[in-house]
Amino acid sequence: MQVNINKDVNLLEFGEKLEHLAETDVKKCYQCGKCTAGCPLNYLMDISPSQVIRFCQMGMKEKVLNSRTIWYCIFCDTCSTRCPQGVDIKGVMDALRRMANQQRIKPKADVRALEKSFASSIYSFGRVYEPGVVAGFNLLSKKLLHDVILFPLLLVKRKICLMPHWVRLAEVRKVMKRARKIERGKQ
Amino acid sequence: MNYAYYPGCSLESTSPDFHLSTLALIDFLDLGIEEIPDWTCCGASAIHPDNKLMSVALPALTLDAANKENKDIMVQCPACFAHLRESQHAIKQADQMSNDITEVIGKKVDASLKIKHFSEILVHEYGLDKLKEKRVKSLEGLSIASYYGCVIVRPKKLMEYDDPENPMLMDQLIEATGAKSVNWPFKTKCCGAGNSISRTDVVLDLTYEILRLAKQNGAEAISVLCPLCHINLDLRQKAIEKRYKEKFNLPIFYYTQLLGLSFGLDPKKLALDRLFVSPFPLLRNKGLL
Repeated sequence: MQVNINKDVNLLEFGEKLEHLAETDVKKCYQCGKCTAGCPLNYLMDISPSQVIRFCQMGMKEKVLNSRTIWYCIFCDTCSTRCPQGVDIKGVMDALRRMANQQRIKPKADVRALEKSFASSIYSFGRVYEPGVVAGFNLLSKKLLHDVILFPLLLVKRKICLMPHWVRLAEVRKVMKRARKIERGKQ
Repeated sequence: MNYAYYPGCSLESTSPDFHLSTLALIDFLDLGIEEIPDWTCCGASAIHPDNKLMSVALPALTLDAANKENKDIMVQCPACFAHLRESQHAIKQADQMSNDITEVIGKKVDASLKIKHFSEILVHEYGLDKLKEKRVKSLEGLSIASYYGCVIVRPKKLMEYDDPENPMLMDQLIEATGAKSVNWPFKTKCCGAGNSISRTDVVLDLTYEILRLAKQNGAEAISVLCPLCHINLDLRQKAIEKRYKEKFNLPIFYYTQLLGLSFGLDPKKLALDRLFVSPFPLLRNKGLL
């Protein structure tokens, strides 16, 4: 793969911010490729997990933040567990996702729609109301009929909560609002 | 034992079979474990990729609720388990994040309590020998693949559960029922987890391999300890079979259901009728019903 390093090198600032957010030292990576070999989602990624770490070492922020890879990671932690150098690759993916969200980079998978729907369910009820999460996801991702066929099956097996539970709503909302405010202040 | 039970949102809705079979074991073994009153959502895997502080602050509300009862926490869902532990770990660090959690919650939350998975409590505190003594019906003749998924074993330092590549804790519980626990390579391979809704095709790819490897290694059923693994392997098994044109018909049990069966508990009480892949033909065939 040919990459132009000169164009987006911003090594110090990006590297320091990333290592602070991910609480790990990406400089330790020596490219053995174990993370990529064990990654269950590697077959769908545009750049492999070990390449993400290499681009991070090189300060190539735009390259990693605009990759599909960071949206496909499912945080199974196989990579970090097997890394012989103790690099927390999952932590890096997580931090890159937060950076991409902060910079309002358009997600390359529907996973962000699910996260939004999930968070609004917690904010509305204090606990997650699963039928609401799926409905919210379907609306946000414009896949209106997704998994609709499962509802009658779940109903027959009594595996669905028909009504949400409202629990400690004032406290949950306070926590979510304050956390948003503090994290926004750090950016 | 001084535990309070944190079921989490999944056990309350899409996984009542896990919840009911857990309650049946608590009752039968007389463990005296009750649900934490007014527990709230742990935030699951939806919050941390967006807001780290919120992801460690939300579970702190539950730590606080358990502290009020003077109890340690017993949990079944591995994702809840991980997020409660993450929060506990973050509070214990003397750094900015810990201070931020205090500010968000409005007080310093005491994080010195124990957080344990029910399977650990059964093996390490109740004891395998005592479980075997309680057995009235051996599940001999049944071959089970123990499938752990990712979150309960990784990261090892945080979860302190078992070996991340070849855990044996659930296998020991399976052996305690009299069933045979098969040796197979995909115990901690990811099932696709939360992608179940957002990328169903990915989940079907990953779970296909899990079902195939389990069957290839002689399993007649799979035992799980995670509600999401269960949904992906049980509820979506028909879709996996359709996509890959291969029949599996592998019942997916929660480990609590298998233990309950060995104690002679009523299959209805263990919610066996709520599994999508019916376990009844297999159990009848083995003379276990």
